[in-house]
Amino acid sequence: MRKYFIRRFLAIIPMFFLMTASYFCIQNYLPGGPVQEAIARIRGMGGEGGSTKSTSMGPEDIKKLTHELEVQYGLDKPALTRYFIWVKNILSLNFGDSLTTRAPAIDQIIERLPISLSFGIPGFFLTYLIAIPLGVVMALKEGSKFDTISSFILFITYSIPALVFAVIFLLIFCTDRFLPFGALFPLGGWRSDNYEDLSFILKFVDLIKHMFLPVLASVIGNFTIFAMLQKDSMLEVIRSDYIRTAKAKGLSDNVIVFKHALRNALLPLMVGFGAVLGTFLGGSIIIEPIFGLPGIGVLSLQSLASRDFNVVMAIVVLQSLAILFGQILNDIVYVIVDPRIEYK
Amino acid sequence: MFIKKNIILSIFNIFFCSFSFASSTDQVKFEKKQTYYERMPKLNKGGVLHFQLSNDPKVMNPLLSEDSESNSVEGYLWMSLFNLDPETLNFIPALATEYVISGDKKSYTFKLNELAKWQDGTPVTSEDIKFTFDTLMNPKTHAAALRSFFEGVSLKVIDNLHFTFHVEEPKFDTLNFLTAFIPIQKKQFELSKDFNNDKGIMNPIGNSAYVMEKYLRSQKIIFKRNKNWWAKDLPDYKNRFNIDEIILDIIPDPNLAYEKFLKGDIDQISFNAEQWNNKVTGIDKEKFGTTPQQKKVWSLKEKNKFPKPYTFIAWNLKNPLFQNVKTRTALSYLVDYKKINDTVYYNLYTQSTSPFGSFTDNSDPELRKKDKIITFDKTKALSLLKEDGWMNDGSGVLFKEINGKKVNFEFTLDTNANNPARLKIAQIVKETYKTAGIKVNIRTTEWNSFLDNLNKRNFESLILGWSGTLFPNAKQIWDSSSEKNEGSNFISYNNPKVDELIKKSNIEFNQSKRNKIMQEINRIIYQDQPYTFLSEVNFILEGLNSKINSPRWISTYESGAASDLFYLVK
Repeated sequence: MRKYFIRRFLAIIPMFFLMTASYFCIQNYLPGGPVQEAIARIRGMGGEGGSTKSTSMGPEDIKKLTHELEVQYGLDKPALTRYFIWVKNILSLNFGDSLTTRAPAIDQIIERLPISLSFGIPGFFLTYLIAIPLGVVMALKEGSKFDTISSFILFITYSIPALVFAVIFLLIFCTDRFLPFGALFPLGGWRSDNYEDLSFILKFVDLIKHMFLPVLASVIGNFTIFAMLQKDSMLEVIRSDYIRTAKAKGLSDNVIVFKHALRNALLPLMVGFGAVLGTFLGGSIIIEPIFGLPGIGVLSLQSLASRDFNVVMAIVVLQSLAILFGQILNDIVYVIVDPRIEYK
Repeated sequence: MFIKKNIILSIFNIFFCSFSFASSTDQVKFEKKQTYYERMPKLNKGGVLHFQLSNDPKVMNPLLSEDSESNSVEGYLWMSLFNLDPETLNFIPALATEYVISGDKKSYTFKLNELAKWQDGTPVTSEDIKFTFDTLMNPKTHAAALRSFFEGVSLKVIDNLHFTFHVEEPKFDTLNFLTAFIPIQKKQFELSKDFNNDKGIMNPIGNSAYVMEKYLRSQKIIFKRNKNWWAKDLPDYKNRFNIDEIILDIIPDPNLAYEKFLKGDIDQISFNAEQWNNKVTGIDKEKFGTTPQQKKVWSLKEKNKFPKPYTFIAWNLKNPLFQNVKTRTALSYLVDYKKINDTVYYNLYTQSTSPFGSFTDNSDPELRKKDKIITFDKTKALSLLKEDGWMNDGSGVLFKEINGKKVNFEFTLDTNANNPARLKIAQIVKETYKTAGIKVNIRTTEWNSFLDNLNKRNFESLILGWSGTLFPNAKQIWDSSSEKNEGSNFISYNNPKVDELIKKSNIEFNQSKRNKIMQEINRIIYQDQPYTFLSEVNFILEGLNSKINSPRWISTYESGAASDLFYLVK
């Protein structure tokens, strides 16, 4: 087993370079980029804003400006050279500066990570905490009124995207449009303006007030499928021969369910456990923009749209590592849940 | 030492003043005219206001900024040499109190205000100006756009307060960009090894009314009123910048910003046409007052002379389909401008007729008359198409023989994704063109890909917009030379008469004479129809919290609410 995990860890290295090199190539061939975007902005192209500083840029100015911007953004060298420079830099943990904000790319991720984690982690645990017992009870009470009503609700929550729930929650609970007593929660954002002046407890309360709805929206989006999976898995287990044998032996229902059935029924749910690391670190590109949470999800979107190569690559590094380590974590969780599993 | 310095200064002042008065009559001196700000009543100071910022500013340094968010931040922190009066466009003294322009318009001598100070209390001197200018002109500084204005300009420091810009070739806007020069503090950056990445570029030391207190990336920027501001008692500034604390909340999503405005979390917002029609005067009508006194929030709709952004269809003139003016004119006659204004812009826009702001002095007044402009006229369009050789064989699509080949009248109309208004326009155009036998294929691409296609001239026609600017220079978009190097003349427009007029307009210093030349350029371009000019924003649409008051909300040449005049109603 040890040899297996050593092999898995060593395999991370070529996998990591394969993943990052592929992404580096893809983004290199994407049309447009920060240089063209900057020139368009300077020229007043787009026409959505007000005035522009410069409207007298002749062709020679554009040529000169293009070259200067390419040097400024480090895009004046061939893609392969740039990849090797990038690899050399990340080995010394230098992810480069953001092309748009000029701040170190890694700093931007570090600044935003707590925001994504503060609704990602509670969301993850709540998803499992709701989905597992709900799925188990639905399986045990299959065909009952509880099962029918739960299945109906799950069907609805499955059919409606998390995005819609998020917008509905925002409109109902954060504005005074619907509730007679006004808004219950702040309208987006991560913290209140006076956060720094609050006591520890009030800071915690403030965080909960800001995170409650984003967490709820993300949980609703995830727990339906988990609950259904858990129900099906549980049904399969409790219909198996060894459970029938246990019942025939006269074991109590609690012992049968919690000692014999649940452990095996949990295995399918554990498939995605490791991948959750990636979800934590990647933030949510759906929930974050709606609630104005400046997390990793929003950063990914903004960086991709503006072709902010260094930030995108820093996020790719983070996610690649999370996925690769998440797979190993998956294997470990499997062994914990079912000690009969043995890796060779 | 202090006395000696003052004697030298006095000698210089005598010399400088006598030089100013005794030189040729062509020499132009700054003449202070009374401004609106001087007549303003005394206003309360204090309070906190929240404004929205769509994104993080990229830098907080006037040399490096090129995005609108950075420019917004700049406005709180730094002063330029002179400001423009938004009522009259006359110059208002800011860091400088005087200028003298030589008879040949090649030398521009400025005098700094001796009171001017940085926020750390040190004086603003010519050394700061020199340092800023040298840093700007250093090719290593990431300021290519701003530097392009200063090509052929040199600077000579005379003393602590006086300095002269020398320009090789003076142009109509030379004084404008020189007066807009914003210096940074030499002391802050003189030891900097890499100016572009110096920590100071995000830690501003300004000289204007506010000081940056805190910046939480992607969350907010807090500015505090500088109570020791050197200009606080000057006539043009004493009643402005009244709010003690300004918080810029970074909210990229306009819908979230709108809800936050309704809730009172932000105090001022600019609406787009769709928000105004569907929300402000639609579902949320009851929530809005029309004056500050009526409701918690109120809406303001005002016209002014500030040149507004305009939307157009650009025809790639390299494409044989669009090379004849008759066809282009026909295509313009086939656009249902009224329908676009009704359904896309909710009657808040007007038909655009000029690239310089249809209602400004740079645009031909004749083209404001309804009978002089191109309006939807299918009969006229069909007859022009016929004159240009387009034939109808009953197949539903017109055809013509071009270079010996039968060519159907079919083309692709590009527009950028995430712009529902432009997509709606494309669909309206497609429908009406179809009835005339012209097949349009709409293609939407995300902004970066769109720019790539445009710069590589990989398009047939496209819908786009240009921003408005107070002192437009037609060279950027309309000069034939601007076709090269991914220049802004991406449609390859080439008219020698326009080129000649552009040259003439750029060296014409008399504003009214220059306006006449610009109007002629406008007339020729409108006749040539290289763009089909579609719509121009007609109103400034603002939402304001009633806790704010102001002696004037929007002035003649302002692009939005005059937030420097806001104060809180107690």
